[in-house]
Amino acid sequence: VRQYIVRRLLLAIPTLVGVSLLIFGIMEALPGDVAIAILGTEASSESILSLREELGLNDAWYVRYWRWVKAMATFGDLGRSLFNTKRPIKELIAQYFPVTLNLTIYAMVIAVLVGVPLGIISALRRDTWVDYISRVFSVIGLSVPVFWLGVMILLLFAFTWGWQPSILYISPFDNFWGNLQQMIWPAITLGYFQVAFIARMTRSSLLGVLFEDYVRTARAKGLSERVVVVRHTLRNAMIPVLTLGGIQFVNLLGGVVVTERVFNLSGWGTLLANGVFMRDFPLVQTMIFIFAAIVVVANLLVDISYSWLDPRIRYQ
Amino acid sequence: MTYRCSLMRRWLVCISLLLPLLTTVSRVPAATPTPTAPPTLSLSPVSVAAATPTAPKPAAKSDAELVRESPLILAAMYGEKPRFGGKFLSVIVENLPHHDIHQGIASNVQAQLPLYNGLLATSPYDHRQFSPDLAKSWEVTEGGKQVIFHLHEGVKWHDGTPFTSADVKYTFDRIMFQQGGNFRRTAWLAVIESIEAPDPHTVIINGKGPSPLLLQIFADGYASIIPKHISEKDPLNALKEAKLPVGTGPFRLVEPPTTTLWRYERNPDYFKKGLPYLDAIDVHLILDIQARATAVLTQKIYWSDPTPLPQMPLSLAQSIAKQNPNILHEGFSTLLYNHFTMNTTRPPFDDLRVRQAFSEAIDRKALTIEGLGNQRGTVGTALWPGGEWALPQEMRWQLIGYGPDMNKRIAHAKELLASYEAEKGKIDWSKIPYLCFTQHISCENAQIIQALLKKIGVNLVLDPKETVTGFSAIAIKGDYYMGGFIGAQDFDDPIDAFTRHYTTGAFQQFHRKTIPELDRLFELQKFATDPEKRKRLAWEMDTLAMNDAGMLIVIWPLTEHLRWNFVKGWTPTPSLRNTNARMEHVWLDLPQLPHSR
Repeated sequence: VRQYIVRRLLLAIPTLVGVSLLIFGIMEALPGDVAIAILGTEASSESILSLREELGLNDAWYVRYWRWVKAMATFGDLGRSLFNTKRPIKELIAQYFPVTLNLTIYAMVIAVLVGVPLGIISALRRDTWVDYISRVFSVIGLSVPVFWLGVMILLLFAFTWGWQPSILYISPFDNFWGNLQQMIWPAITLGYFQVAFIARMTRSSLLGVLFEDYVRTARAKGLSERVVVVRHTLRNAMIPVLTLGGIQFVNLLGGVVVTERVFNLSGWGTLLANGVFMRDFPLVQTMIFIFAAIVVVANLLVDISYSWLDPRIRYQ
Repeated sequence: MTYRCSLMRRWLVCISLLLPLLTTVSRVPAATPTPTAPPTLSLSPVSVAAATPTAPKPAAKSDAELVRESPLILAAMYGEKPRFGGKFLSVIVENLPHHDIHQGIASNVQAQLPLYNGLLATSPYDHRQFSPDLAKSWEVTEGGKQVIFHLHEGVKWHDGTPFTSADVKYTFDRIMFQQGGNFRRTAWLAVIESIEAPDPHTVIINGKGPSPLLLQIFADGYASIIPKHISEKDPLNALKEAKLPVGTGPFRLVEPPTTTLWRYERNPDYFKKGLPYLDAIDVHLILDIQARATAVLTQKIYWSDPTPLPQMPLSLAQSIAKQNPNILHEGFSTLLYNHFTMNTTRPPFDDLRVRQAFSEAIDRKALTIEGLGNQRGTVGTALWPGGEWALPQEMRWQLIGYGPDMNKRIAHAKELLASYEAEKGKIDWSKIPYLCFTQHISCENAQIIQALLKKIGVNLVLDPKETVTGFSAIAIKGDYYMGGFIGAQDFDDPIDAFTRHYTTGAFQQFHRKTIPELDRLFELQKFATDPEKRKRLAWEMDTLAMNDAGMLIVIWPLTEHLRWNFVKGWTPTPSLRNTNARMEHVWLDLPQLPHSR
């Protein structure tokens, strides 16, 4: 396994170099100007051009690419944002990270705690009213856009109960209850799609396994239904769920952008969205690069977890 | 089967336990300060003057004299009895690029103004009156060409460094002459010759001629005095990157500001006795409009912005105000406008007849809720219709594109286009590109203009762009045919109005055309001492600019503002950078707060 991990990590290097070039190319192709974002729309063309020069935006593309890669590679401060008082990107990422981590953990916990049991029940009670309700619930979750759900929740609670999450981030280590109050609805907004997805995946995987010969054999041996489901069925059924769940975790990061904006949470999503709106190229490039790295690592972890779930799988 | 039932039961139990928990989590009530004033919901268009407090005030003394006696006396004259203490929850609506108030955007001023002072301020109750700030008094001499400011003594920066006239001179020189000085200096350069600091407590402004701007400029939030001892180390970047900016203002920062929060506390050493009334201010960044509106409703913030910005849609503001009668909703006439611009370097817009035809076909009123639009607003020209220089309606009706009879205008427009085609040949009017901006109301206006121009056989193809992209096309590259966006003036004065778009060297001449006659009139009016003569000259310039139809100011929209009725000591102002955003006179009318400190 160690050899496999090393090989995968080495393979990640050219992948990430390619990703960096792709990100840089896309940002280059993107029209717009950070100088306008900084000076505002009352600016004169002279002041905009002067600021562009000052920020080094008039340099050749390879000069700017090299500057960015160098800043990232030295890992000192990951470069500097063109916005945000030119703060080191490392600082910004560290400042915004806890909110996103907190939100995604809650969303994933909700997704797993609700999605997996819902999928199991749905599969075990196939074609009953419980299954129908579960499926409708899942289809709605897959269909409803995150931003719509977020705005509806926000307006519903604000208009009905005069409630809105705290504007300031409350750390769970300082005040867990306050943190839960602040994060629960954003997490539900973000996690609903995942709940639906995991429930659907669990249901179909479980149905695929429930009628296998070895399950029938287990039942014939007189094992309890609980042991049959948990020990013999679920473990095998979970492999595709885990594979796609890992990919979905990455999608969760996309949903974070919208959810954080709607609920005014200062996380990575907000930072990234602002960076794109303001054309803060170094910040956006670095953040996308980090997202890409997370995808690579998440995929690796998913692959490694296969061998634990299914001992037949061995890495060469 | 037994297992399945058991599993399902457990799951249902979990859900039934979880749901009440979530409901409890969501029902935490917001703080509910008891309102002490009756709700006064205003949904009809109001001018800034009409929106100021209506309590009787004797005319014997000016607001400046009253505030010199005591801020409490000034408040009392406007029927207010301030309470002391409390934390104000404020908001900004745009990301701050950095911490340099002179090189930033309107939100920089809104977020940072509690830190700073200027030489003058406007009265918190009447924006037309000046009020002393760092200058305790001032004299206008040499026939209005020179202003001598006498500064307060013993004023200190928040870091303890003494404030002197050198800070003032440094600030104004930096704005006007140094690299890093802002484009906003155009009005400054038009009227100011030099700045002197003959002693630590005197500043002399030598004007190029007599102008009301020689005082107005210094009563604007943008003219905040910055600390020389910090800025001069690196004039371009020291303030931009300052971790903990300092000023002389009524509030000082508790901690280094983050991208989303500026946390202030009362400056106990503030040089104005009795001010500020508040103990603290938290300025939050809320970008999303829905989130901001609901934050007002749930009292996470007390108003929608410190000086009205064109962000809040009318319908949303109305629906929020309907939820609670103690939330005031007002529309303010400000120095913001929607413009409609044609690139005169590109045919067919290099021809006056085409521009005038388009102007004639656009019914300005159609851009408001009285027509096809979603905003409230006033039809106007380059001179703010809410101000003293406004072009009278009877004169406006004589302009191309402003006549009261739309049928006549449409017929005239068709004649103009026919005349153009007769001379230059047929034009394909079916695909004229129109650049609009996805933010704000630009693209909504574009759709209305699109519908209006169909009446003369012109079909616009809308080209929506983000601001950072569209503005580059319109302002820098000139890579557009027609477009429309928002603009703003800082002062209700012809100098500011025409140096933005119309005079030679104007810093936002999007239509790329000058009119020599307008330049000549501009120079004539600039220092005209007779206000009536100056007004007539300004109207002539306005007429020239609107009839030339390169860049049309079509609507002066009302900016929608929400605030709780316990917010006192604040009135709306036409300028986005007004000194009221400093909030030193703002107080909270909450019964738990005392009337003395």
